[in-house]
Amino acid sequence: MSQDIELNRRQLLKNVAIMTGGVLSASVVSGIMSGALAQEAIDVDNPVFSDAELKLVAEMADMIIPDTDTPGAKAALVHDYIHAIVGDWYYDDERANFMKGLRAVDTGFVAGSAAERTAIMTSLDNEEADGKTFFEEFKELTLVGYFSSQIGAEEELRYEQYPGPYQGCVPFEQVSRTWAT
Amino acid sequence: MVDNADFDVIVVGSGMSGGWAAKEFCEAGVKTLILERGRHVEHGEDYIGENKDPWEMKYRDKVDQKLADERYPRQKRCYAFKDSTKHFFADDIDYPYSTEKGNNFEWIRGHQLGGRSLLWHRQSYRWSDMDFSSNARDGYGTDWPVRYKDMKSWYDYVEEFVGVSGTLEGMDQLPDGVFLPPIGLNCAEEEFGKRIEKAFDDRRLIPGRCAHLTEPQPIHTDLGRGTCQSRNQCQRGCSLGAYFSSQSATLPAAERTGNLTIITDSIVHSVIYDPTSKKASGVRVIDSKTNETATYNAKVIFLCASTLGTTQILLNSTSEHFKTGFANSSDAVGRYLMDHLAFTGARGELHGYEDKYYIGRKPNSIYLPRFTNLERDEEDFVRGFAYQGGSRRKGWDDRMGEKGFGAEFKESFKTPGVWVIDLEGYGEMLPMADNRVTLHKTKKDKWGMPQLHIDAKFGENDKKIRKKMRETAVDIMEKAGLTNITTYNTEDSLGLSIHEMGTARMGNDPKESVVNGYNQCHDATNVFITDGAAMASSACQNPSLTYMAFTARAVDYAVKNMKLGKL
Repeated sequence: MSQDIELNRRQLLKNVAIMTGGVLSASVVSGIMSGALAQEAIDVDNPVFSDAELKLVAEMADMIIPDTDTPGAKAALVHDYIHAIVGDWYYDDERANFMKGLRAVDTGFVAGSAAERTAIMTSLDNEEADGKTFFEEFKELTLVGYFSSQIGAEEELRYEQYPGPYQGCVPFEQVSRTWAT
Repeated sequence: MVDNADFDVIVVGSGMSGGWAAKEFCEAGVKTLILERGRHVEHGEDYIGENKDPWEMKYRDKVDQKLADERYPRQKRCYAFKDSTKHFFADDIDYPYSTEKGNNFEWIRGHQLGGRSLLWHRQSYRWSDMDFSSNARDGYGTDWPVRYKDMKSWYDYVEEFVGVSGTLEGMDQLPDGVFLPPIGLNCAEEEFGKRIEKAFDDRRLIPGRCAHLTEPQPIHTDLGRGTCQSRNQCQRGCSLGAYFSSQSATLPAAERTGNLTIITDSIVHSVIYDPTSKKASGVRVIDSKTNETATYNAKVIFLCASTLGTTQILLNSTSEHFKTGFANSSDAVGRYLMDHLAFTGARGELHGYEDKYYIGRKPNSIYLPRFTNLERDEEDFVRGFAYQGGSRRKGWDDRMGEKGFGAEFKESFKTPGVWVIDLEGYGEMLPMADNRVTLHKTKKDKWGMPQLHIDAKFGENDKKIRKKMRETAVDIMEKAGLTNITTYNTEDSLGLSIHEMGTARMGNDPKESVVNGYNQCHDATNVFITDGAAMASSACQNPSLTYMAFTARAVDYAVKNMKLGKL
């Protein structure tokens, strides 16, 4: 299957090259030929997490999306994505709200055993609130961060920059996994 | 420096209509000048968001919310406003306008070469005889001077060049056209369509008709255009030229004739009236970078600056002769503003087909053509509506707020969810004199142009249609056996359908309308208006294709009259 995709990509690259008279921008080439699946570093302009907080975020995200047959949240640098959103994208009140929730996570989490961590996560997952709970917000950021990473999109799910002419009804096996986008 | 002797025609604007005007004039051998208020955008090279994978964008294609709130408080409400597209939207601070208190209007703009042809949704439908007769039938608006028979050959002509994909259906209310193979229905849409036809003998679900090349013909490949790859990121720009834009099609076609001159960053301030000839002599422009002013003269002027852009120019072109705006003896300039009624409908789930999926991000809609008030008015409203929408299987982004974590939770996302179907109404808005844009009495933009003030709201008929669209969507889904049906009614601001039109309307009577049946100003025969401003009614179809057909037809008329020495 992955061989087929690679072949399709090469064919497409050729077609594009023919159409554009052989001149391809670097971004087109990288878009079609992206090979190695390592998440590039995410710049955080306004770091707000302490080292311990960043570690906590990474561990929690990785418990939501752990390593399985594919790498999980940590490998996809989901914690850095969350750091960028909280530090750079959020308004002050949103950031304060997030930090409050993060600091309220049971201090036993980092040093805890796997079972203890799971218990803390389960209790967070079961919390209810009028609006979004801290954990719901955290999980949402984790899912977005992971499934829009290269690992999440291409390895765990399926992603094509150039899917080719639309086919509206094919056997599921032909795609094999949910489209990331 | 551009010399006035270099051209006979000025086209104001380079979007959907301006691109067509330029192409048609240039191909007829007429030296043509395009004046574009925005910057140059080079096909391909300036599509800086194209080919970006989600992980290459820090916020994963969401616009930095502080930037959006500060510079794009209105544009950010457009569905296509993303990190990879934001540079094709006008900065709301640089391009201000005001609205009447309580009547909000979101004016979505693309001030650059190519205009909003880079941002459009590409749905392309002909208007029918019913649509061109509607004003005469119920008395709202002024009668169209044209009927479908006048437009048919022009629709044929523009569709062939644009490259519209679709299916032949033989429906009077939605005439067939010159189509490339369709971007067809997916499994759930097909099933939904079958169930609709079984439950209703007056309704048929068809593939959307869209300006995407599915099988490019020589007329397309000659311009370097290629086949659609279902990226569905069209508003980033498409260097494949697979969807129609000024950059991919009309501008290169005009340029290859050697007859085209383009000046960008040049804001048309006003049209200059010459009382001796009773025609326009040219236009005044402001260089957006240096603020220097200049005048360009021409035999013929085509205003294609977008509905409200053209209207702003007209209203700002006052003289001893035209005290309330250029070619405005009818007082219709600025009035009868319309948009389409949308952002309401229903969603439901279609169970089954779990072993089926699709390949590609479908860049096309489904279409359920109008079925109400066809022969006569049978509802408690006049005019009608159609539906657009589509189906997809639920993915990870539909599952926010779900409980769970860990390996099993992660694994569960690998399998797509149920097929969800969306039906969104597209309704016709009536032309009303009080839905109006004027020049603000005191506020100006940074180039000294008086700002537009927009005052428009939904009327009673419009509200009835919106309600009916929502209720009928539910009824269709129920009878088609969908489950978990929910309605939405998310937007009550006009403007966001981005189909604003009508503010310099077409009509036979110079006392009631601004342009005649050839888009020619009643009050100044060498000025033509062929963008959405000229529309005398809105129908419920997406209007770009009709603007293109009117533009090509108007140029043909103008060229013939120029040859006869009448223009």
